Amino acid sequence: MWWLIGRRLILAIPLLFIVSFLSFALVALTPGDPAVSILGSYATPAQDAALDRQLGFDQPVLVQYGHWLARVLHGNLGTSLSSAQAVTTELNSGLGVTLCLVIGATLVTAVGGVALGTLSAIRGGAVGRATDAIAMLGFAIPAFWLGLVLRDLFAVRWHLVPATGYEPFTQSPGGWFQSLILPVATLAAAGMTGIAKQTRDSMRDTLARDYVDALRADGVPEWRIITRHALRNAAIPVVTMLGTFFVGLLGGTVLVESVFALPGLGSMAVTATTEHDLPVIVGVAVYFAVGVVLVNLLVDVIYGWLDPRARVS
Amino acid sequence: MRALLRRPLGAAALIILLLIVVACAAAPWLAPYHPDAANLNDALAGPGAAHWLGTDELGRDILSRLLYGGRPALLDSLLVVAVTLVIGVPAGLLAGFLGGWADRLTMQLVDVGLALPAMVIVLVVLSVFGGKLTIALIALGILLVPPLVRIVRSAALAVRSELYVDAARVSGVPPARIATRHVLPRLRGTILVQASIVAALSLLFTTGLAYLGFGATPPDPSWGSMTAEASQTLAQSPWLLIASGGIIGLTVLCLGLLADTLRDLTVAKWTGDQSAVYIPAPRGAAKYTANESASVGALLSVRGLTVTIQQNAIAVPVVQDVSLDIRAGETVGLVGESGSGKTSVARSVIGLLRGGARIEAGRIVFDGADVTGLAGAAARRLRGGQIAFIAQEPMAALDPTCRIGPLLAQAVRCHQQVTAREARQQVLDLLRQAQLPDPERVARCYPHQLSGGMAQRVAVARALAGRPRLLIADEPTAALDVTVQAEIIALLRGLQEQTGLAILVVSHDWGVVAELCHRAVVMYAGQVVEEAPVAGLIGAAAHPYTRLLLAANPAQAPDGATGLPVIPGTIPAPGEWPAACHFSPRCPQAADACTVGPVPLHEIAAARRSRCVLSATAIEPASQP
Repeated sequence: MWWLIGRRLILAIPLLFIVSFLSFALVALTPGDPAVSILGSYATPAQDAALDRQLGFDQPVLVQYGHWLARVLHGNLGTSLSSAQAVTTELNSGLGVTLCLVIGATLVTAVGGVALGTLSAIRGGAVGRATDAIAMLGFAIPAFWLGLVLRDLFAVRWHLVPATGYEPFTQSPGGWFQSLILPVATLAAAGMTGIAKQTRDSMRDTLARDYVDALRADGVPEWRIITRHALRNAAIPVVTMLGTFFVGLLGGTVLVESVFALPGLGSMAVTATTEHDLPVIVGVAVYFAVGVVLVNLLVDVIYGWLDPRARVS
Repeated sequence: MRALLRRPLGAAALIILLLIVVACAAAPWLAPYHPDAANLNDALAGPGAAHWLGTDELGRDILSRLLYGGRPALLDSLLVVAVTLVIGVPAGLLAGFLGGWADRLTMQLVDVGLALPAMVIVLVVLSVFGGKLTIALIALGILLVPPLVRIVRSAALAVRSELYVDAARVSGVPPARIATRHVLPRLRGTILVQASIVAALSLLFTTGLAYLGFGATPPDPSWGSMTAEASQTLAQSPWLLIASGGIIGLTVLCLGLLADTLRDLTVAKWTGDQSAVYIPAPRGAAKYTANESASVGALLSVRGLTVTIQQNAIAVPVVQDVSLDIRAGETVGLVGESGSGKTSVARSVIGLLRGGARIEAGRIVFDGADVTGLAGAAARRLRGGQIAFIAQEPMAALDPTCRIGPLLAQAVRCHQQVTAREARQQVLDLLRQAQLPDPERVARCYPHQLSGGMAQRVAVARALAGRPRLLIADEPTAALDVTVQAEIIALLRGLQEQTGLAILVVSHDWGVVAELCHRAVVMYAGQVVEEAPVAGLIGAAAHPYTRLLLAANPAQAPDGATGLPVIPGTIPAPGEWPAACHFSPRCPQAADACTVGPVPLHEIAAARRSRCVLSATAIEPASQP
């Protein structure tokens, strides 16, 4: 088990390097003078040069990266160009929102998707075809559009939940829950059907295995075979998919936070992009990459717990 | 292509997709209005004769804007697909085809690439390049490469190991030529499927970017920015939202359906069906007819059992009119080549037929009660509690995620009302009874920590958990090496002597049958061809098939014999059985009488039956051929 986690941690290092270097290189290799694009074309060359020095853009790329990396390792992602705040301070204020959204959506997706997929595998027929159809729709409907429709129906027309905005849990747990229902539902919709389909296929495959037959020959009731034995085996390939699913979820967060005006990392990334606030957008990329690394670790732990064969080195 | 059009859903998706693409391409000719022609007097109108899909907040015609707005959306996606394919296909092909370090390096990069959050990276690119969409789209194309590489690589790996590719390599065709001439065409289906998926993903992605404001510059229409405009006026009119979201959804849906259909077609072509799925028999569906009465005193009585499988909507028999009896404490061998239907007979008895097979006719009586097609709680009490079943592969019968102890305890508690503690104690006793050394350790093991021989002993212990009266062992030694085989046979024999268990051994191995069984029932092509006490059978078989089968047994071969005698020909597949004697096409003694009509199983001596027209005369000269 520890061996497994260790290996994943070692694999995570190149990922963090690549994300950080890619982000950094993109910034450094920007055609034209970054100071010009920040200050606009009316600034004097002296102002441009001053900003370049301030931002360190007058040094070689690798030196810049080295400095940048050293700062990042000390928890310093630089200063936002538009708000003049430390990037980490700014991003940490939005981290809670995004975490709630992403964790909520992952839980809903995993539980709902596995339940739906299992039902579809054992009932087959009409339920199976319905799952297929819904899965296809879930894939095809753009998340931002679904968010708009849900917002219009549940918030604007029926006043069941607030349309936009976010209330922290510490201020009002009820309001916090209400403000997250629609965004989580929107994010989960697409992934849930995908997971359901994967679970269905994996469950069918599992139910055709010899050991399921052997359990039937033991006289074990069918529901017990499914809940105690088949589900665990069927979940193994599904869990490995969760990592990839999570990466997609992060992309969805950007859109969904914009639709529901949630002050999270995603909407910060959009604002930063519009304002060419490079330190902030690179900071978001680093936060997300760390998130992916952590989720992959978690996936490995769950994988090892589910499948005893994965625990040996 | 023609196959695709025969699937209604796939064909419809393709046609709608083509219509959308053509309509958008021909927007200047088809659109009823200029996309930017505003008319504030007619703002936010619903669908009508003048504006089929209504108007937006500036009174612009939604249909016209959709047609024009599709052009950036579709072109952007096309660019992304092109970038992904141009990089992904050669990379996957090379990785799969070259193998070695090139493969490892590619896969490492793919792993990293899969973990990159694409949306944020694209936003980074956009902000770095001052909102230049083309560069962002190229970046997106690159970000969608990793999954494609992985799929193309595994497809290329599969094709690479095929014979014709090997042949090309041996005959000196350069690798690049093999890759493009022999491997690439086979991957066409896979690549088309992936291209559809990438197109769908990039359409979702680019419209999402346009929704966020990183797309066509206003007032130029695009599907994503129209959705954003619609969200501003949603309270007054939903039409713009329905139209803009609808067209994105429809296009992605068609691409997804196309991918699904293409995948079905390519997969179906290469793997055939894999229906090993257990389908519970519909209750009361089989027409059981008792054409013979169950014999008195037998523990298990099978009468006139016919099992069929569905082949192209026709019920094809795999077992035909099989009857057999097992008395309490008796060991019976069910012998035959693979394909003779012996496993189907064994599985019928406990109601666990596979692959859609079902009991078409016949009766299975256990201890005086009809247990044919039993379902629900009654079937569960029978399975394990009365009749235990040991399947062919001992390892495959164990749930890989479950320790041996809990697995066996569960079997115990299915049939006895005992506490968890008592069940654990019983499990240890069972493991000890199956002569497993160190039962405590075995109980804590996962299946992958056991050897094949240990797994088979565990299977024996497990079979005894419900204290059954009949044990069915399907090829109990086939998966084991010779020394372990002998141990398992000794174990089964010992158990029978101790407990008086009746055993049905399904085997193709005469050695096992001779060691273990009192009586043997020989099957060929779905029928019982001979039934006799084992002592009388070996050396004096009545049916020509039995004689040939005995002669083909390595243990029976005389020392110094050059090669084993083999039975010429192969066993016919279900559905291809002759109406007359099933063995006649392969029988060295076949006469005209053998091909006239069905041969009945007739009594040739006390407790001996044979299904051969010659057996009345053939029984005396039992010379080996």
